[in-house]
Amino acid sequence: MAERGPGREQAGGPFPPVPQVGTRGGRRAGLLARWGPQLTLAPALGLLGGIFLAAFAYTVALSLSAWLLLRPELPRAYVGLRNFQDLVSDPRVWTALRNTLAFALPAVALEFLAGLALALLLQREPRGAAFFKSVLLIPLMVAPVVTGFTWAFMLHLDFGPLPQLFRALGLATLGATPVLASRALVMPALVLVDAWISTPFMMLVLLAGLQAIPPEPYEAAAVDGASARQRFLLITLPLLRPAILVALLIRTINAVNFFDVAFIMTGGGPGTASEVLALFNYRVTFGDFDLGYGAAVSLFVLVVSAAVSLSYIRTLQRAS
Amino acid sequence: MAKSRATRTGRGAARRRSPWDGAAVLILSLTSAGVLFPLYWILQTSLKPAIEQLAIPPIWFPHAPTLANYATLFRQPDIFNAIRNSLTITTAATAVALALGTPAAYVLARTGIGGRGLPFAILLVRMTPPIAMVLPFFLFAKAAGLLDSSAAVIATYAFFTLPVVVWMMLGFLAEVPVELEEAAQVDGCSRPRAFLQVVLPLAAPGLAATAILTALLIWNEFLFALVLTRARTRTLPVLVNFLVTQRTVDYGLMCAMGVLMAAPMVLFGLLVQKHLVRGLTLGAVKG
Repeated sequence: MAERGPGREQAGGPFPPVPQVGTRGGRRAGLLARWGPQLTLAPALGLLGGIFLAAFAYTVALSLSAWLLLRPELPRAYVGLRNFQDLVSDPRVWTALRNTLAFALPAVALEFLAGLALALLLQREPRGAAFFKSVLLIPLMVAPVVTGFTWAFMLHLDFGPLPQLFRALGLATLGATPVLASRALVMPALVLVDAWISTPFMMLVLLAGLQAIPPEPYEAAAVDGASARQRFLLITLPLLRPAILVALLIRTINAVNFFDVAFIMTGGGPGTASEVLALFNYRVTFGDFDLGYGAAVSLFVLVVSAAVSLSYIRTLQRAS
Repeated sequence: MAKSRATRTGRGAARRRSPWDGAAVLILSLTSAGVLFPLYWILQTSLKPAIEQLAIPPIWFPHAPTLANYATLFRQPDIFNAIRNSLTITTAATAVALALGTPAAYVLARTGIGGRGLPFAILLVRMTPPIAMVLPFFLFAKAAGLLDSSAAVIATYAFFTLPVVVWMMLGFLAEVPVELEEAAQVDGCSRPRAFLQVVLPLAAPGLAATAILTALLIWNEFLFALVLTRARTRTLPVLVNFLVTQRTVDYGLMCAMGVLMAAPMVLFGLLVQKHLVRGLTLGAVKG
């Protein structure tokens, strides 16, 4: 970025003529012109592709082996598909998958509806719209570990303001329940925290989508005397579809991989009530140091994630 | 920065005022209060003396504000180390990702090598679950003897933010009119020079936004830092986790820590909020 200084001076004015170099330089320039683009791309693509493929291949190889890091006396051995057989019959895998779905579906649905509502309100350009938009963006910039700690504190039965607020609102039972230690309430709590973090993201993407809709269809609809509901259902929603799918795709992938906040707030507890896939995978790999099985679980998470992405991308392609 | 779009689209100005506008302001105010309250809560706790932090029921603003919690924070043995690690790792990894990704984005924007498939292949890295990548990265670092070295963490973060840089810069560079660099080349400027001296300065706001978003992602990253760092290279998010898992949690200290971590990123983020949508959707939606 050091080159920016001298460049800026020239950007506005005319460029000084650059003296032509000799034939050797000319030939070098010719070679660069021929292969320059490929050479420029090579480092970035080589690193990305190389490391990605190496990591993936290594994970596949690990998933076919037994390797317990905490028991160095046992040799690392090839075990074929045994890790995957274990995975299919491991109840914790299915608990984790169920928890992930029980978290991701309501979280994404809530964020979508709240985000759409906020985007529609901001689209009306009410007084203070720019201020509200800035405020709503802030949760996206706060580190998830800080967010997780903050909400755990907010929910603290003695020192937190939320139980106090619940009691003041007459919700005595809720105000006396340690929410994060309750099997029934822990997932709804995580969903709400995630909604606090990510509703702004939905709002931003949908607002950008709304603002990209041209005014003509609305003008035509006004001439035809369409009602507000008809305008929303027949113009806004169909034209917003690409933005909706992009927002849902990105959010669903992130929700399926939910980790930081749950790690800080619950660690998967109570018991395994909030143990989502990523937490389960982390515990197997870096808690038990069962690397072979951990790699198999990683591939399972990868497949779940890919299945979600592909189904959205299919829909997106069919839509456009 | 946060200028209203009404003037640009002209729609806002032309529309009649309706009772919905009042409702909109009311709903947006309540939502904003909900968004700000948790942040207010840690800010005011960070300014409370211990006796007020532990009041039951909690008090909602400090009666005797103090900076004692920040003093305690800066007396933590690991804090300066963690701040320095977070700063170096964030700066270095952002620089590496920008240096590798910006020229690549320029080539993709101008030549279209690899068709539409190549940018999406690059995106694949970003779409891959982090938890599925953390084990091979841990073992690579371990095999290279780089556990507890900032080099491994910097390389890892540069790798994972490279797709973000390429996608964001692809959009910004495509918006720079190609005629300007053609004129420079007619004047005898080489292609790399035209890129550095003509195109890049025009894309400077985009470059700044990309740098800030990349730095924000790295500064806040937790999972890879948790696995790849040890006492020497521990970053701020890992220190947060370390303090949270202590037997007795010092709420004032934790809140001061949270404010310290969040405040700079919120400030930077608000500076580039105009470009945030594009960054967060990797260019899929223009803000």
